[in-house]
Amino acid sequence: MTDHLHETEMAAYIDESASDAVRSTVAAHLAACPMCAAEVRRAVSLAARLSSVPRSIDPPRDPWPEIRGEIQRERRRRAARWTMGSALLAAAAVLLVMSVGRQARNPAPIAAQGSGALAEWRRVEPAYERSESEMAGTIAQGKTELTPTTVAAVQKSLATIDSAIAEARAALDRDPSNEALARLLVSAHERKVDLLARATRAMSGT
Amino acid sequence: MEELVHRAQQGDDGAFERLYREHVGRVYALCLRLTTDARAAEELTQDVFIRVWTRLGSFRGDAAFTTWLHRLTVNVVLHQKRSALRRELRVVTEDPEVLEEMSPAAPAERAMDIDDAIAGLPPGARTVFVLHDIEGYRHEEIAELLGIAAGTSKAHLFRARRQLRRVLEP
Repeated sequence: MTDHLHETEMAAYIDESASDAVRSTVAAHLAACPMCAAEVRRAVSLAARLSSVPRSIDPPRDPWPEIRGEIQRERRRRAARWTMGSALLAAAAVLLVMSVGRQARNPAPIAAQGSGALAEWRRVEPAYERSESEMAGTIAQGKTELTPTTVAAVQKSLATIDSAIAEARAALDRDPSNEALARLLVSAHERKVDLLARATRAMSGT
Repeated sequence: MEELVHRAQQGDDGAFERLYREHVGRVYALCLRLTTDARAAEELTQDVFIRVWTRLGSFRGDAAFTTWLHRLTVNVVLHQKRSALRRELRVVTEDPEVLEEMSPAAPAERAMDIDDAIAGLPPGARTVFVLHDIEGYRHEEIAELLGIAAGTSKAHLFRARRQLRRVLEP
């Protein structure tokens, strides 16, 4: 006997999916071929052992703490991306309003404009500050994801910019119509937003 | 199960942890059998559940959650191993008979644990065997997952079974 059973015939015979005709052919072959008969016995044994293979195995060490930690980090990254996106959008909207207002009235630099641009800035400044505050809050929550050197550099730069903002605002309070001071204030806010955006991007890995 | 999935989709961390607890054993077992490396299987299990968390919003319930989860698991493992696996499959499929010669030497004189025997299969044959005979995938699905022909998947399976029969013979 040289033609032995093919795996497909054997599998169909064992799992009883073979047609009656194939089944009787296989049975006749097995009666005459000890090699195939032994192979079928081994296949039946393998199928039986496979049915007892555990479908579930507990990992030696529960990976949940790492999974939970990564989920929390991902949450912070998502929050950072969202906050950065919305804050930058708000800041950009503020600048756009100022820019459009400026161009509509007068294409000259802000210092050469009348009190309109200054009034415009005063109107939108709270929104600008809210955006900055949101980004700063996000950075404070996720600062463990930044290196200590980066955190220190950001804090130092923020302190410098905040000091410049405070000085410009105090000077503007004393001289409310001074457009040069207003331009200084806007510039300081722009630098602050830029710094916060870069720090948030570094934190979110984007 | 659907309720648990729904709650996890709404951001309920407790529900997500319960989903994890219910399925981690199946996911780990699948990763372990596909990689034969406990450490890699643990890391892949982490990756799978992080991926589940990030993609849970896209699960619409068209298939059972377990089906979705197992397919995602297979994809994560295969993605991780794709380059090496493809190399191995290519070598094997160019000459299917080489498969048995490439098999790690099996201790023939002792009765083997079936998981040891499965781990001793060549990578391509092992992947097909685990997906087909343990996880219940069809050859067409395996072919699509692995980027091979369905006939090649069958050839791997037959040779895997033949090798296992020989190795496990009492």
